[in-house]
Amino acid sequence: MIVQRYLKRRSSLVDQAMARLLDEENAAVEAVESKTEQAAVAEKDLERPMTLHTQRLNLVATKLKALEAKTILDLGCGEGKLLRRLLADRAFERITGMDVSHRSLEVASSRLRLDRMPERQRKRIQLIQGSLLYRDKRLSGFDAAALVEVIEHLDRPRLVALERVVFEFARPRHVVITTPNREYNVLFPTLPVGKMRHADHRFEWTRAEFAEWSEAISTRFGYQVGFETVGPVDEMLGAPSQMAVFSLPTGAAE
Amino acid sequence: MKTIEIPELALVALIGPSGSGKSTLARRHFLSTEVLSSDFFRGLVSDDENDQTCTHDAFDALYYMIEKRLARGRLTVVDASNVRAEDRKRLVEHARKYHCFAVAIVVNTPERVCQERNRSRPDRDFGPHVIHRQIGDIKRGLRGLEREGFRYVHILDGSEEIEIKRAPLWNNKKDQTGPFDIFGDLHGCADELRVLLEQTGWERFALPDPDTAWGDEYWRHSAGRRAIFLGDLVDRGPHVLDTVRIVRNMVAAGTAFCVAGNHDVKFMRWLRGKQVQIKHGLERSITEVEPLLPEHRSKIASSLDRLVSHYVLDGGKLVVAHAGLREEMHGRGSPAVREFCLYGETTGETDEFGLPVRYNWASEYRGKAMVVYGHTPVPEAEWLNNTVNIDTGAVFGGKLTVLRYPEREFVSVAAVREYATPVRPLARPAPDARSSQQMLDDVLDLEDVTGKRIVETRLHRTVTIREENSIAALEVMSRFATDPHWLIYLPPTMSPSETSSRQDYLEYPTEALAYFRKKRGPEGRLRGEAHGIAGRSCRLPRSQRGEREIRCGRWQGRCLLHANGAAVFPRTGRRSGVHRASSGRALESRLLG
Repeated sequence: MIVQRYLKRRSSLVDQAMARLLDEENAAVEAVESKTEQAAVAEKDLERPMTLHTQRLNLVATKLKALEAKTILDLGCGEGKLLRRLLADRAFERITGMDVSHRSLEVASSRLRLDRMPERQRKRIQLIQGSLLYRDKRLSGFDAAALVEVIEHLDRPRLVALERVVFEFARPRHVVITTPNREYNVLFPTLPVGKMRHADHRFEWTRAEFAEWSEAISTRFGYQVGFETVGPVDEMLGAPSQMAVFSLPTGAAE
Repeated sequence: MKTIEIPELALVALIGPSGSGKSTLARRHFLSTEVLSSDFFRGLVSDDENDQTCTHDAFDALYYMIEKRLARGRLTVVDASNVRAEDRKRLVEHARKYHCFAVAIVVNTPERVCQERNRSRPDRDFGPHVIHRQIGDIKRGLRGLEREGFRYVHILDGSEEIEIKRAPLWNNKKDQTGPFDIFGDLHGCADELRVLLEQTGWERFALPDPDTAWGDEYWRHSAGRRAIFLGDLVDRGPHVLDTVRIVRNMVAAGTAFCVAGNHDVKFMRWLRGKQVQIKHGLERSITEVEPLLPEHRSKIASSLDRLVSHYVLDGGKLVVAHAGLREEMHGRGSPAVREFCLYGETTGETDEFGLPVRYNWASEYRGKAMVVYGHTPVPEAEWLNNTVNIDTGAVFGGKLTVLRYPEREFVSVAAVREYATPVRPLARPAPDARSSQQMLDDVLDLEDVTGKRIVETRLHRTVTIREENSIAALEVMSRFATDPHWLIYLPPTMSPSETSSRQDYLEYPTEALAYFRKKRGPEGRLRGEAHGIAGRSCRLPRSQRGEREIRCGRWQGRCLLHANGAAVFPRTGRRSGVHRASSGRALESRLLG
């Protein structure tokens, strides 16, 4: 009983500390919301007319299938929306969702009803806590990795670590990365000029910036890269979100 | 009384039919915790020691226990009948996997005695044919035991009194506490060796009654230091014989230890008439020994053959091997361990010079023991995860290096000239290049931070980090905190300067700077103890290692001081420092707004 209470208090301490960090984060960019969840809702609201996130997830799932990838890493899987889509397709034999937030993984686990899933299904999916800033043996040996709206949540200087962790150490055959297109922001009527879409975004890139980064890492790590748009395309400003698909040349060592 | 000697770390298989007295022998000569009996495990999984239907599960549990014990380096005795070759094969595989010797003790009690004993035990209700069959199986297997992989086989008749003696492994020199002078690959560089010995306080003596094959030259240190040679005495260089003689005489006189190198083994095989390819400098050794008498040559061969592949010294704090050694192999003995010690680990690929690509085992090394090795020439001896390669390519015109232990100092002497040309040129380090350790630490490894962890501290007790805390910390560090590379140390929450006179500020940059200037002189350069501002101050204990230095950075507009870690951590991009609030969040945007 005492131990239970003690543990209870501890976990709430962690939550409190987390909430405080998130608060500060939001205050820093003067967002109205005080919690990231709400910020996410805000981002969704912003993009709702186009149901952009759904489009994005569908597009990524289709892309992974077209690449004939059978084993998938969803890096920064959040609450498991992409995982759910992948699970629905038997072509994906092994799916691993990783997120740095333990809380998100708990939500994902309950949304996907992992505890009630039939064993054969259950074996296809695995949720792990991990960080894209740390080299991780568990991440090697996959056909493809997806990073859907993840990179912009990292401080720009720390992307260097992510690049090596994903492209040098995990080294899947294909990597699909999506990130907002900053140029499109002016078309969101409720977004103040110069603000980012999500309170936790550390940067948002123009198409040129994303292309420059993507091409630099594909050269550095021996991948080939192609770009696609996500959402309705504006003639001048491009699509609201952008996607890069990296692939190792066929026959290259994994 | 018969004395049986077994290695101190081994997997011992007792082999004998039911009723032969294996369990009695085990009880008498081993700790009860060292003995894993199949009957006991049958009982554990089924509550019935004689339930043969649970044999499969019982052995699963038993093998699991074998693995745990061998991984921890504990002698383990398997008390099962082990009469069939396929059962023994699994035991040998387990011993190999954990680099332990497999030892067989056959209890060959006469069938009549076994039958009698079993008749008197009401719980053994199987017929006499079982024992008869078991004895037949054992007889058939007896001669093949060594071929099956048992390094030592002892056969008892079941009636004699025995004594079991545990022998330390050859590599166990834990009682040798040094201090040591550890020399890199010599390759016949006897001149450089003599210079370096002299430079490090060694004196040359003559052996009192020298053997004509070995001459009388040996060296002794006035302060009683011992030398350790990391192998590869022969090939490539100008004075192979002299080198072998000096090392041999020092080992014989008890002033040195020497481990085997791949070149020594190959030369030994050539001396014994084996077919070996004469390349990579072997021809130099051959030219030197050609005029020798056959008995002198065979003395050299046996002396090289006796070299052990690695040593564990100083209570386990120091491990030496020619090509290095992974932690799980320290103090173990198996063909795989010897192979690793001699050749290191290769990836199976070859580089543009046709040389095997080496797997950098040291980058994954997390062991407590310092590992000193050679084998691959490097321009400078460099520490990496408490390992160091001190083969600085003397024979290739580099230098001969000695590591002084426990001082951790390097002393080198330049080679007189280049005696051999390396296939792959020795890379010269760029003057401002990062160290291997820095390059390795550029990307952190999840395994080093995840799960429940126990951190040993230098000045205090151990700190336990609970799993839920490390989970939370991973998220905080990844999402909110500063890049761990900048966290040279965790600063205390209070800064040393006085509270600000301005309202709304606990500290203010100009005041804090003034404080430090007053304390430390105008250039604001601080040593030992550093600066801090706005709830995030920095402090370097004086006892921190020498190369750690924190500079009071440039004043940048409204920004705060830089904790410039450039001397320790690589600069990434144009950022030369970071400044964060106590939550870890970036400060620039609002703090002084």
